[in-house]
Amino acid sequence: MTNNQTRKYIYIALLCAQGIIISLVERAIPFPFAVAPGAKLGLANLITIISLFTLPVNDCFLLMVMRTILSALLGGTLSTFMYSLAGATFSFLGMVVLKRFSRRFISMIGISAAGGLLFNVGQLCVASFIAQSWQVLLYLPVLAFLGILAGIAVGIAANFLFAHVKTLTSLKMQHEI
Amino acid sequence: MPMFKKICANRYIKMIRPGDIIIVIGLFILSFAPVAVFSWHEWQTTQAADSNAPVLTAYVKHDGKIVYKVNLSTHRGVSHFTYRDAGGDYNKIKVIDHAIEVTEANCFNQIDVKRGKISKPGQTIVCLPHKLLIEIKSKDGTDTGGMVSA
Repeated sequence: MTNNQTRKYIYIALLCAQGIIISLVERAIPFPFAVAPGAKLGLANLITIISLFTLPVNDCFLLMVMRTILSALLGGTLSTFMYSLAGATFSFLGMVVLKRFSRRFISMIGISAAGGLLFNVGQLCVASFIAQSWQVLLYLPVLAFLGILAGIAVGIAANFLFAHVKTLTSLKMQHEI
Repeated sequence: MPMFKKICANRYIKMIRPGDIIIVIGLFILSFAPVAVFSWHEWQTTQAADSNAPVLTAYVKHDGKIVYKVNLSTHRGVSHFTYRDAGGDYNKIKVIDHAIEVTEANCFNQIDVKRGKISKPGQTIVCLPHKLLIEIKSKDGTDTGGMVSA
């Protein structure tokens, strides 16, 4: 019992650390699309996807919040923290709902594409709240296009991870039972 | 080599479930929702603005009392009105479509005639010798350009 609990916490901590590292590395990549400032790849979404498929929902939420706070502390500002917390919460809720309602119909690709879009929606909602104008939301199509593409890529990567990392495969099997 | 490629392609295709394609297409459409909502809203507001465009009315006043008024927004063609008072003073006023002017007057300085046509809310034609004032007001009484109120 306690052994299991410890194992779970270690697993969460590992995922959290990996997520932070991924987002720090991602921040170091110069963004090639000058047309869309604020767009980012959202590679750390990969961690959320993995946790969704291997952990219960409340642990996933805890992991998501910890990851966002820590990566903001390590390399962000207050405004990026607000953007990414709103975006992460939105995309998390969307992905949980999608995963619930689509047992076999939607794979990780669809779920993570939805996550990518909802991240941008959350970001832009905060931006429009700060700017006090809904005009900001008109920027959504540009961001969403990139967000969905990145989401698809992340979904494919998650698929490969689950296919090739034995630990993840067995954890997923355990979770699904 | 071709065989290897085929396997690779298969691996990608096997990952994708029908729901994914629907989801991705749906998301792309959804991402244009704000644009649609905004343009719809814009269209609505322009419609509303068109429907309650201000109604302009020209008032001809002598000594503060309205002697003649005409709705300039709906006025078409040419109509005439002549103001006369007991002392023989007169001002001939002509309304052409949405504009009003004084064409002839027997006051000494002829300022009202020289003023020409007016058509915008807040504009006035004044004939001080005859104490005559022509002003244009919009429906709710606000005169937008009204710096001068005689």
